[in-house]
Amino acid sequence: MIHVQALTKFYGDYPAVRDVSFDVPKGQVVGFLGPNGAGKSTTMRVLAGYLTATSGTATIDGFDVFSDPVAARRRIGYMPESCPLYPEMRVREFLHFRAGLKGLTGKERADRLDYVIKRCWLGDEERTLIGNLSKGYRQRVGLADALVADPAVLILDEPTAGLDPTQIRETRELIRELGQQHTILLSTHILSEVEMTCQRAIIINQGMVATSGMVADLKRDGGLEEVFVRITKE
Amino acid sequence: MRTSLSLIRREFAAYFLGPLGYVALALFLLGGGVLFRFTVDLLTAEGAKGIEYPMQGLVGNVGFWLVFWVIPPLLTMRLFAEERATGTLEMLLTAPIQDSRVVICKYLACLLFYILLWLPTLLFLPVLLDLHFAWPGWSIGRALVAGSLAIPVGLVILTFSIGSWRPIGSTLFFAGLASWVAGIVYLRLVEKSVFCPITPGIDPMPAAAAYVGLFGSGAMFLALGLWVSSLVKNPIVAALVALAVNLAFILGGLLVLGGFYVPPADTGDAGFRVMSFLSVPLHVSQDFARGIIDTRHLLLYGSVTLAGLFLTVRSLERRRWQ
Repeated sequence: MIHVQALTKFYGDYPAVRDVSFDVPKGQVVGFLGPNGAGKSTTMRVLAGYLTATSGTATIDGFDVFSDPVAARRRIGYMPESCPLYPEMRVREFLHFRAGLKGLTGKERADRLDYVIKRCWLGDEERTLIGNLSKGYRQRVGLADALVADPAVLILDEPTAGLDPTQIRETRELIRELGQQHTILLSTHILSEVEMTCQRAIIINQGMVATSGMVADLKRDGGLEEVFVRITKE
Repeated sequence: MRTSLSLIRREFAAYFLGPLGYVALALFLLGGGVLFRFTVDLLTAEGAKGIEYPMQGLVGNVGFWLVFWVIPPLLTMRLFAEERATGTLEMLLTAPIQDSRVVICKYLACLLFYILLWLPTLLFLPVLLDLHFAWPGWSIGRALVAGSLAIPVGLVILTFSIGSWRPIGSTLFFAGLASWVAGIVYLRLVEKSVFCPITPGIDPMPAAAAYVGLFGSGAMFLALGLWVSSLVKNPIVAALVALAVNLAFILGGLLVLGGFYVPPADTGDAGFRVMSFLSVPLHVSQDFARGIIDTRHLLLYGSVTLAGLFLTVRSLERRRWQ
């Protein structure tokens, strides 16, 4: 579903991502792990079409994110890091706008809005100004936005950052459920999160893929934490 | 199409969700009102004072150009700069929509608001042009044409409502449209009449030409402002830079209209020719407001507008590569 081949991204002279390749098959939930500054967000931004790679290719469901960006983006629900939203809009109004932007109309749009608002526990806050929402609720709005057009692929950049323990648990639960219908690539630096929600982990360090494997296998190799620390210390 | 409409709707409605739209409207109405009063004084003055063309009093005045200099940057400063500052640009540019369409939608939204800004000044025209309305009384055709008032009502609902009111809004819009078309046809073919015969006391075409010039030059200033807004991160900086850029097209005219600079008697003077080529206040006060639609001016506005929009698209693309 997601196919990344020899992806490289330079910021000026600084290589943020170097020769990254990986595949995510349909229906898998993959955790994208790595220390801060490892290139997780950059890779995700390239996949979502926000940045253009210096070299290499990436395709989503067979559509190249560089040569066929609109078709590729139509298949992605992307939630950027820190989840920027328009503070002057109300929750439902914002989701209504995003659904329209993603090409939904009429009854389908209204139905999807009702669905994501229920799914992301936003029912009580539909009419609240986004600027007045707490961090956790804003994150839910971002997730609802990613889900609204029912994309095949979800790319979530640190979906649980800044949430309280209850919210983290709810979000993980939701991601696990969504994994049954969507292919998900999510980044995090919380290892236990990957163990709980993902089937596979890709560990990235200094812009390169350090290791990747099924979470169950990595667990056998002395646990995810052990593997992670070993890689990042090298 | 739906995608574009969604974006235009949001950008247009955003003017009313913050103080900015109201500030621009209030400033513009205040300036327009003062100038209207000033023009009426001139039109009714006795002796050697007075003006040739009524729109010259309204838009050929230094005060007007000081207000008009500030308005377009106010409308464009937020469009991209704020999205960059808050990071929402990432959400917008990862949606399934081309960069060029994002630019065009944002541009159309601010152009629509700019047109809205000018609509109230149409109320000045009956006085300025000494219009006489000979209302012939209601008839079926006229009632149908009057039904077109449902169009703006429907549009307002469609702009601001997202819930159960939307079907009512679109019904009103289409019913108004149908009623208007039916009314026009009925009046023409069956009643062989017009909605309301108007006899102007003076030639109305110079006023129409003035609106053409103001629309064209406004479109140009907005495109420049949009480009500036895509280059910087802070809306205030975007407004200030846009003011400086617009000055290239305004300064000369301000100096001449304000009496700080007297154009040389030789109209072939190179410096003055350059200045009159660029200077929008001179175009409007000396050509458009006198009923002269000079295509050189329109060509200038059109080409700068296209250049501005093109550079905006490039500037968005550039940031993907950085």
